[in-house]
Amino acid sequence: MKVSQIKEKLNLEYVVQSDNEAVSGYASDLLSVVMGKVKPQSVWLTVQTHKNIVAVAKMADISAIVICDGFSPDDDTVEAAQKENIPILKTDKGVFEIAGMLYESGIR
Amino acid sequence: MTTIELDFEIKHNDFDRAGSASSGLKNTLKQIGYPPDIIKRIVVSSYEAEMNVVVHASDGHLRAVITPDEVHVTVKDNGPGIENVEMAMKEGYSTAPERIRELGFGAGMGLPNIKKNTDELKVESFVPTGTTVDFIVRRSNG
Repeated sequence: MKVSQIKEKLNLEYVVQSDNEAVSGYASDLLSVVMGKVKPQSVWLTVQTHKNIVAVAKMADISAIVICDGFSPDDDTVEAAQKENIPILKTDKGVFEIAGMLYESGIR
Repeated sequence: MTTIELDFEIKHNDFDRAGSASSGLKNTLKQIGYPPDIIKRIVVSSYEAEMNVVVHASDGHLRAVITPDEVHVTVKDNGPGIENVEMAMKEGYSTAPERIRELGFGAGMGLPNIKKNTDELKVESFVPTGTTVDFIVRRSNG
């Protein structure tokens, strides 16, 4: 599924707009755990907002970062994601709820 | 493809530039057409090693030697060294300070992640002179 389709389905807001194919998902705020466990082409749900999440996403071939619970990425996070062409989306909904909605929509 | 050698500087405590060495390494590997799954194993490992220097050590270097068959990465810092390498290799063991943990680092998965993703790993550490993390990822053993 395209990230843009996920955005529409789950009513997420684009902070950094870019499109990728996403086939799986992962939720954690511990960066090394994410890098150790996430499958390539995943949507990553987190509440971390600092620039290093973009590096993690780049190294681990993550398709999109979804920042949950109403948090917003730092300005330099946005800049880095634009440069690396990694989509960042945000939502007021919690990680648990977004994970459930993603699962329901076929992202496993 | 001939051998490509890369050398990046790593700055301790510089969280703005953190990851730039691994990012540069990834760009090069992508350019020369290494397979994505192998690239992921290499750069996840190099990022972990790089972040260990940024979080725990002092200034250091990441050197990579890329051949058609394998990538050999050496990350070397100038101290203070790891007190107990055996413990540091265990999942969940971390000495990261609280302010770093709040950023999501310090899960105690750094060296274990490198071990998992590489074909060969050597960690040499001397207190207080420094640590060398040396690993190889082979293209054939995907």
